[in-house]
Order: sequence, then structure tokens, then C-alpha cells
Amino acid sequence: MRRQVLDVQDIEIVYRTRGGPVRAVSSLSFSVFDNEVFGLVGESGSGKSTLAMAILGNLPDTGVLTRGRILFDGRELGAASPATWRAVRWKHLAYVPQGAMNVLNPLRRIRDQFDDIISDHGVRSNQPDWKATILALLKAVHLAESVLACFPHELSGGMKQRVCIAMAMLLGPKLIIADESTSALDVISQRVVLQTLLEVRARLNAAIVLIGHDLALQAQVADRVGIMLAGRFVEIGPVTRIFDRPLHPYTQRLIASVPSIRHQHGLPDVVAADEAERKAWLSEDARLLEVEPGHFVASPSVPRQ
Amino acid sequence: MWRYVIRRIGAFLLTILFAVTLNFTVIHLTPIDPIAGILGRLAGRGVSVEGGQKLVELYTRTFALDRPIAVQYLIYLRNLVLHGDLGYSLSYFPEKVSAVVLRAVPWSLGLLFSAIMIAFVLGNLLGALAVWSRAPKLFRGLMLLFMSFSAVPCYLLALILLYLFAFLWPILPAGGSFTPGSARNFDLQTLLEVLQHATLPVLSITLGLIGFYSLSMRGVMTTVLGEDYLMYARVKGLKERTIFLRYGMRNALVPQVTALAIDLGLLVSGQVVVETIFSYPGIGTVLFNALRTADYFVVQGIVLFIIVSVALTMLLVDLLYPLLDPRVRYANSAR
Amino acid sequence: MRIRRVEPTVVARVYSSSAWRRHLPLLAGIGLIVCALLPVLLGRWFVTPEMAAVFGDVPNLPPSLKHPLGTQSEGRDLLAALMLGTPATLAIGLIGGGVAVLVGGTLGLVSGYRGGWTDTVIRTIVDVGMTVPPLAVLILIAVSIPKVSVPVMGLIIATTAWISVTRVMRSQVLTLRERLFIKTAKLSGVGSFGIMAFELAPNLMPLFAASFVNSVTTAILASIGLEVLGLGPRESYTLGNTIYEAMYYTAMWRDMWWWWLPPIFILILIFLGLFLVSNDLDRIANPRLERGW
Repeated sequence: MRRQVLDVQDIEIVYRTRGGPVRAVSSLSFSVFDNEVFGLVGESGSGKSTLAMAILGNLPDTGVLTRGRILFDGRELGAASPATWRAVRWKHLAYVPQGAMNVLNPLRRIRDQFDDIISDHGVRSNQPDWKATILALLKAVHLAESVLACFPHELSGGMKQRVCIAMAMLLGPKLIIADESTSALDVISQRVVLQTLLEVRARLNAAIVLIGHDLALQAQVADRVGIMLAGRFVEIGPVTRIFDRPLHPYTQRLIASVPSIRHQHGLPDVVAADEAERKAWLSEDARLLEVEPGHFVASPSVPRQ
Repeated sequence: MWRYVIRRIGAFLLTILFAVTLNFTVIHLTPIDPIAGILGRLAGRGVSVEGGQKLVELYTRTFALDRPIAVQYLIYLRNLVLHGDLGYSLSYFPEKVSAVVLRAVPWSLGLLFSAIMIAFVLGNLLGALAVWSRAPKLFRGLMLLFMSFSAVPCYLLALILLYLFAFLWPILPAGGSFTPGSARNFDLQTLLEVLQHATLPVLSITLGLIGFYSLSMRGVMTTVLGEDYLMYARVKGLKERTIFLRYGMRNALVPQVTALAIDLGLLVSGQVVVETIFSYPGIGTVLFNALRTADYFVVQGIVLFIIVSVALTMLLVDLLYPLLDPRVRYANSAR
Repeated sequence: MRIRRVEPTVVARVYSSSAWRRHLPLLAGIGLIVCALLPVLLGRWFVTPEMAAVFGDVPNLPPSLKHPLGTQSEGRDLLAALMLGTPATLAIGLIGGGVAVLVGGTLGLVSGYRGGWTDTVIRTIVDVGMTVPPLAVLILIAVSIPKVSVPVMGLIIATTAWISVTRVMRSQVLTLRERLFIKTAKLSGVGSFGIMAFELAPNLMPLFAASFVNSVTTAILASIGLEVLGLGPRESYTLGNTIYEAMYYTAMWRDMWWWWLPPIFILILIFLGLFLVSNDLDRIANPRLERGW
């Protein structure tokens, strides 16, 4: 029985807005096992980032976890105190954001931002030791030492992304959540970043949750994949099974949209879903049925309670 | 980068030109003849008019009052720029205006500087803490209080403070900068005296100023709070204090530094009146006395001085700003 | 609960849905200003305007039934002085602020819309003007005019107050200029003047209103500043003049609180009131400020 590093049980996340409560995530459950790459795929607005922020304990003030539990390494985190969070964050649970975003403090040099992490986590910043660690990490992400003296605006998008990966690795976490880490990059940089993430996984024996909207990309690196739609999963399973035998109609559409070299004569027919189909999916019961070992699907025939 | 510098210096020079021209124009358009006024008063007091004649002759010569107006303008400019000559004071004749003004400047500067420093530090902290969700709610109430103070002009606050602390509970002196009759040396005793006398004036200006700084800091901080790097800092498990100081305030202070100088004109205007109320020997009191004694040239000299020094300060701040924000420096030098 | 799919990075805030509560500052501000006008409204039951004249009665009397706010060293009844002074001060504010907004608004409109040389000239004047402390210029002008009346005072103040209005209007016009409805009007052959007067101006109304209140505040501030220095309209009664006289006759030292306190109190009411009103109007004119609270 593999160890679960992350166990999300039937959670619901609601945003309080001026127009009333908005449910961003509902009846969502999934787990991430030790040392695996879990690909989380969904379109914009499906709730991926909300889910990531909830796991990291960083929902905005207007977002509330109204139901369910989030267990990290057996410990309940959902609504824990700031002190508990600080003990867990980064040391065990790290985050790689979209590096092209403004995530690095524009007024601080890169090396200072590394130092902030080290000193604030109570580890004795034994200077020579940590300097060596940081340099080794930079090398692992294929960055030169000169990066340390730079300000963020002096680096390219891909470089900033890799700095973020290096930062995530700094304290040797057990779970890394990578949110759209390759979305804003060119193809070659994407490749480098993905490769780096895999190397990270090997180095640290960490689990990675890879969030994105590009199914083809996920296919290359993930062990298991979860397809998210409108705040819940419609299908979860090993990546090969999902591609060989997608069960949910939405998944089927997604896979059919992936451009393939096999389609030699023009593009495949547009496979967008029509209104009725989408409505049907939205009113499904979110409970996932295990159709084969490890392969879960939301059932369209069971009406919503 | 250099284009920016040149542009700013150009604007500064334009401002000087405007101020000087304004001074000149006003002299020549006013129906008031200051010299005749003074002469009239002197004669009325029975003082010999001979000194007055000398004054008129001196002015006619120095300012070429008998030549065409364009020439007068140029001579005025020359006197001003090359010699720093602002003319003679009518009340303190034969003292020159520049001497009178410069005597008072250090006092005003001390007042201004202290008030700005204190208000900037406290105001920015207050504004930042008022929007920081994990800070005690007390700061929001405090901020409302100081914003009400800043709605009222500082000289009204000065009058109230004067009454409260110099009359009702007389713990602070009512005016001046020294206790009359005390020895004035460079020692601790004198320093304490100066500080004691400066307390109420500084307080009047600071109380109003804190509100302004906290308001603009609140706006800037709100923007910073929405930035991605703040989210990332929190997710990285950094300490609350680190996030607040190094990722929040540090980033918010950069635009705030230009805010330091933006309201300088209003600030100086307010300070002038505050000094008057406390008879603090700065340029405000000198101005007030000059207005009362119709010492027209001193009035002009002070006005010119105020305009130039404010413009100069704003120029310096604008030129220093790129040093604080590496992005601006980079953007400007990349051209 | 309806399920709505929302881009989760939208940060929303909960607002009070009641319009009354949202505009509480506006109402409170207006209330304060009305309170400041109370002496004017109620004073007529106690005193007559004539009593504000010099030697209307015995000087330096403390408050009594006959003189609810006492008299000052020139024998003027203070309540009468306030009755005349408050409207005078407000009038200076309205004249100064009004002229400033009209001139500044028009210049900002023209400068923002026309662009080119007009814009460059106006913009340079504004940039230079903003670095100049207004009181300095006002002092110079006021000192040079021998006889200042209330309207003249207003005009003097307007000479420096229009500058910030121009700047604000201009930047708003620059934003609006690129909008579709302006371009459509241009294509339909509407002339420059037509566009400025009938398309841009109506859309600038909220900003206009906010600028007006700000300008009035600035005007009253400037006028009090000048008056306290002794440069006000000496023939008329204004609140600032009353304070100036109080200082001139050292009223505080002589414990005549009824002289210097009431005008200050009324001024504080006016300023706080204007502050609250302009805060709210600023928020209406610029909804992005809503996020602040």
C-alpha cells in the first residue's frame, strides 16, 4: 500500500462575492502518493488554481473551505493555525508558480530572496553550507551562478521559472505543487522545465502535482492524471489508461483535441461539446466510481442528489 | 537616463523663471509704491527724510527704474542670478533682504525636516498596518483619527494645541525658540530649550501630515497586497514580519518617496502660518512681520525663496528616485 | 445556491448592499456643514447684523444672553460676526472653487482632447504650476492689491487653484478620447467643439463634481491662510479675519475663549464636512478607489 502524501477528502470551496456565494470547488476528492507525478488537467475556470491555493493554505480572505478535509502526510491542514502552516510550508510542501508572473520581489536580488527562505525557516544559516547547496541547486536547474546577483527583471521568463524551481527544492519538500509552470514558455523552455521537474522528483523523492491545461504535455511526464471540470474531477486514472481508454465524454473530447502527427490530412473535426452535453456533465453526481483498479470516473447515469 | 535628467532640470529652470518674472511683474503692476509708503511713515514719525532719499536713489540706481522696462527686467535678473541680490529690507534698512531671510532659514528648515521625518515614518507605518489583514484592527481606527486631523489646516491645529498645552496645561512654551533671557551656547541646556520650544510647532505640522502619508501609503500598499510576489512570499512560509517589511513596505515605499515632495508646496504654506502663530523665528514670522510693516521687498524675497527652494527639493527627489527603484534605472539606461 | 464557474483569481469583497450605508460619509459630511451654518440660521433670533459693526457694544464682554458669544476688542458682537462671516467664507470658497473648476476643467478638456501644441503649452504650465507653493503666489498677489473684497478674494485664489483641476481633467479626457463613442462621433462628422461639449463633458460630470468639492475645499483653505496672515478682505467679516483679529488682540492670552474658539470650531466642522463629502465623491467618480476600504 503506497503512502499517501496528500489526501483531499470531499472538499468544497466557496467564494463570498458581492453577487452572492460562488462555489469554485465542490465534492472534490483525490490523493497523491509518494514520489509520483500527478497531472491535474482542466480548462480555465475549472478551479485548478483555487484547489492549489487551498492545499497551500493560501486562499484569499473571501475564499472558505466549507466542507471536507485536506490531509498532508496524515496531518489535517485545512483550517490550521498560521503557526502550523509555517512549520509545514516549504519544508514539506512547496510551490512552483508560473514564473512569468510577478512572483519574485522586483526590489530584491535573487540571492537575498534565497536567504530570506533560509533564515526564516529557523535553520541556522551556516553560510558556507547553504551557499554550496544553492549553487548545486542552480546547477541542477541549469542556471549560472551569476543569476544570484541579478534582479528579477534582468532574467528571462524561462530563467525565472527555473529560479522558482530551485527555490522550491531548497528545503527538500515531500510535495511540490507546480501551477502552470510551463504555460507561458516557448517550446524549448517547456522541455527544459519539464525535464528539470523530473530530475527534481528523482533527486528528492518528492511527489509533484503538475497543474496545467495541456493534456499532451501531461502525457509525457505524469504517472496519473486527473481531469477537472467545473470544480470537481470527472476522471482520474493512470496516464496510459486515460489515453487508451478514456471513459468520460469530456475526457474523450479533450484527448481528441490533442493534435497528433497521425492526423495527416488536415485538422480533426472540431469536437467541442454542445450546451446540452455540458449541462448534463454539470449536473452529474461528483462521486467517482472505480471502474478499473485506480481508474475512477464520474458517473453520468446517477442523478445529482 | 540623461534625457530624463535634462527634462527635469529644464522644468526646474522654467519654474525659477516663472517665479522671478512673477515677482518682477507684480512690482510693476501694483499701484502700491512701497518706498513712498515707508517714506510717508518715516516722515510721520518725525524721522529725517534724508535716509529715505538715499534709499530712493539707491533703488533707482540699482534697479534702473528710469530705464525702459525690458532693461529693468534684465538688470533684475542679473542682480538676482549673479549677485543673489534681493534688494534691501525697508524695516531693517540698511540690511539686505537676503541677510534677513537667511537668518531665518535654518529655523524653518529644522522645523520642516523634523516634521517630515517623523510624519513620514509614522504615517507610512500606520497606513501599511491599517491595510494589513493580520494587524490589529486598532490601526484602522487610528488612521481615521489622523485623517480627520489632516482635513483641518495645520494652523488651526496649532491654535488648539497652543491653547491646550501652553495655557490650559502649561507644560510647553507659547512661542519663540528660546526662553527669553537665557544664555545661548552650543550646549545641552540650549539644545533642550530649543527642542522644548520646537515641540508644539513640529507637533502641529506632524499631526496633520501623518494623515496624508498614511492615506497614500494605504493606497500603495493595497496595490502591493494584490501582487503575486506577496502571495508567493506567504506560500514560502516566510515570517509575517519579513513579509510585511521586506516584501510589503519596502516595495510600497518606493513610490511613496516621491510622495514626500509632492505636497511640499502645501506643507510649506501651512508651516508659514504655524510659525506665525508661535512666533517661531523662521521665514514664516519674518514674512508676517514684513506684511505687517509693509516691508514689501522682504515679502517678495521670501516668496521667491520659498518657490525656488521647493522647486529645488522636488528636482532633487525626482533625480534621486531612480536610485531607489532599480527598474526605473534599468528602463532609463536601456534606451 | 447557483453554481457559477468563476476564474478563481478574482478577488472579490463583500460590500454592504444598502446604498444609504455606503454613502454614509457623504451624508455625514453634509450634516456637518449644515451644523456649521447653524449660527447663521439661528443667530437672527439673538442678534442683528448691525451688532457686528465696530463698537456695536461694549468691548470684551464675555457671553451673556444679550451677546451669546460675547464681544471682542473692537466692540463687535461675535455671534453677529459669525453670522456674517460664515457665509462670506463659504462664498469665497464657492467663487474661488467655481472659477477654478470652470477654467481648469475647460483647459483640461481642451488640452486633453486637442493635443499638439495647445496640450504641450498647457501641460508645461501645469507641471511648473504644481511645483509652486500656492500660498507664496497668493501672498504676492494679495499684497499688491490694495483693496480686496470677497469676490476679488475668490478670484485671487482661483488663479492658483485651477492647476490641479486641469491635470485631473486632462488625464481623464485622455482615457475617454480613445473610447468608441468618441470615435463614432468623430466619424459622424461632429466637430471638435461639439464632441467636447456634448460627448465628453457629460461623461466628465462625476469628476467635475468631485473636482468642484475639492476646489472649494482648497479655496477655503487658501483664503483662511491668507486671512490669518492679515491679507484677507479687511472690510468684510470672514472667519479667517475673526481669527486674525483674535491673534492681533492677543485674545488667547486674555482668556477670551469666546473669541477665538467659535470660528475655529465652525471651520473644523466645515473642513471635516467637505473632507467627507469629497471622499465619497472621489469614490463615485473613480470606482477603483472602492477597493481601498
